[in-house]
Amino acid sequence: MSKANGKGYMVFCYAFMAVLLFLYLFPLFFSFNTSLKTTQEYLLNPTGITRSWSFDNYITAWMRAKFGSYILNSVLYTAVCTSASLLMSLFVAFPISRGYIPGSGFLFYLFICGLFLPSGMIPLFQIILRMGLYNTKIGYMLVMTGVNATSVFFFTGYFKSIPRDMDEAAAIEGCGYARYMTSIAIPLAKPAIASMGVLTMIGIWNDIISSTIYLTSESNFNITRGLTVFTGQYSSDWTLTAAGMVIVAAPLILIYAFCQRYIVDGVMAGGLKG
Amino acid sequence: MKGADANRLRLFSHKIVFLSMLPGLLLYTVFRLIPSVTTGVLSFTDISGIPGAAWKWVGLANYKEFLVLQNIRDLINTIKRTGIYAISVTLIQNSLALLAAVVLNSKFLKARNFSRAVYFMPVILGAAVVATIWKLMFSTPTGPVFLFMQQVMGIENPPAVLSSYSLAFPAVIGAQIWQNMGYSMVIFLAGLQGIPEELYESADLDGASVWQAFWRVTFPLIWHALTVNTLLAIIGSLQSFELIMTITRGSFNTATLGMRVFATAFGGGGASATGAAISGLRQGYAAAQGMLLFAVVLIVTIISQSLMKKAEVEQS
Repeated sequence: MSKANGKGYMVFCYAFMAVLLFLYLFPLFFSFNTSLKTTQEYLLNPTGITRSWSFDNYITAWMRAKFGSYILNSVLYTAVCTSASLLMSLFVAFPISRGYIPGSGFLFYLFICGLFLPSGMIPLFQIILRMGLYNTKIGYMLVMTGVNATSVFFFTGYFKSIPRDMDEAAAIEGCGYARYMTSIAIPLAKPAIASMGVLTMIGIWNDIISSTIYLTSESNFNITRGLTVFTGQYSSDWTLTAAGMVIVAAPLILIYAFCQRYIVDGVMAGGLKG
Repeated sequence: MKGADANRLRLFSHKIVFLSMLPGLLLYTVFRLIPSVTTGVLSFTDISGIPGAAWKWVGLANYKEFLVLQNIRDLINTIKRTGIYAISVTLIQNSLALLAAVVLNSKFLKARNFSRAVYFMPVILGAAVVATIWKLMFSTPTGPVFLFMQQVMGIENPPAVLSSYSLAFPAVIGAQIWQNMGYSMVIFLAGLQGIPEELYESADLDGASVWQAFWRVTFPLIWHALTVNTLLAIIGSLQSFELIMTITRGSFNTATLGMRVFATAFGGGGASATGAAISGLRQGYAAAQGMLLFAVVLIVTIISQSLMKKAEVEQS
């Protein structure tokens, strides 16, 4: 940047960054801070930094809302749906990207359609209802797996960057398809799997719409549904609500801290191709 | 090329390849494609969400009910809110995101990675957590926003924002922008990183100001990212109701068309202008509203795409 207005520009950049940082950090910090206060301290001094460092809210929230059970459910849903969805997307995407079966072009087009078509929320509900899977863990997991069109799209693109010669070499050596996929093609796609995996995982963990539609018994609640019901019940007990929120956010923040690169890669790739 | 392809088709047995695709194709067809396409079919029925209840074909009755028979104020309010939501989210979110991306792309800046990570955080946290954070922020009489209005702005009786008929909607829009700004920003950053440094150096040599460099170099070169972001924001804000659902459940004049589809189909949702609560489980009626929403999304997408294509041609 030119020297004449370099300084003014620098000041602007820092000012803008600082204001935005405040707008993002303050609500996060305020909520966390609130979760560490006793109700009395919060009412007397809502914005001051906690002095009591009370973890009672966490214990109370954990016991009243069965967060343990919600977390277990969420872990089950996320693990099963993410792995099933990734695995199926990989096996669909590879032959499409290579044109190994007749009609690959048409299939690719079908998945592109999935990116634009409306959600089909209502017929899907009717299907699940008529299959007798309403308010069951299986039904919810089927809905959440549903094969992500975005990952098929993403993997198809990624497989194209892996040379076809590898397929040929393997086939000539007498390597079967299943073995080729599991020991060569899928391991080679690891970076793509990491990006899509983290994004899919976060999407399923954070789902609130489908869990509101399909899960009505507390024993099936995932963590976001649990939080929403919990904050509804204790809507004026803000310290307790804040603690519940932190319990839900903590695993996400942990994953974010370790997988930021993959997440950002996935978003950038998806955005640029979309 | 054709011959080579035909050769490669024989590499692996069709049967095994197809079998391995089957679970994915089946699941995708049954739980994604078929539901998506049959929304239109259900919109001509009076099907409900109650198991075992009888249903029948009703022709265009659902469309007629939404467009003609319902209170005209409800219809206008819904359209107005949906439009305001989509336009303000798209404009503000993209402007902020572009500015943030340009700022964070400046090499001299300290703490760039930290800031990027912070701005992107709400995307990861998801609607349930974000909604709780903003309910805390707007709570009365101890929430920071309330205290700010009372003590800094000197308002004697600050309103309870999230249960105010005029303020709840802007608050929800704000939360929506707060949550998704980081996403658009990352896409802009990807676009900015593709601009070669030399272009700025030569602009600098030519004596261009920061402002000129932005309009002449940066802006045309991130046009693609801008198109993508605009499209994502328009489609996203027209369809999404996660935050509306989790913050106000559509009460206090916050129900957009997307929220109404959900509330009509699955219950919940606020009162209409006439005071009658939106009744849930009328899924045929909801499907008709969903089809109208889809039509709106389609038309708006096509128009905005062609406008941005035209602008791109004019620029070059």
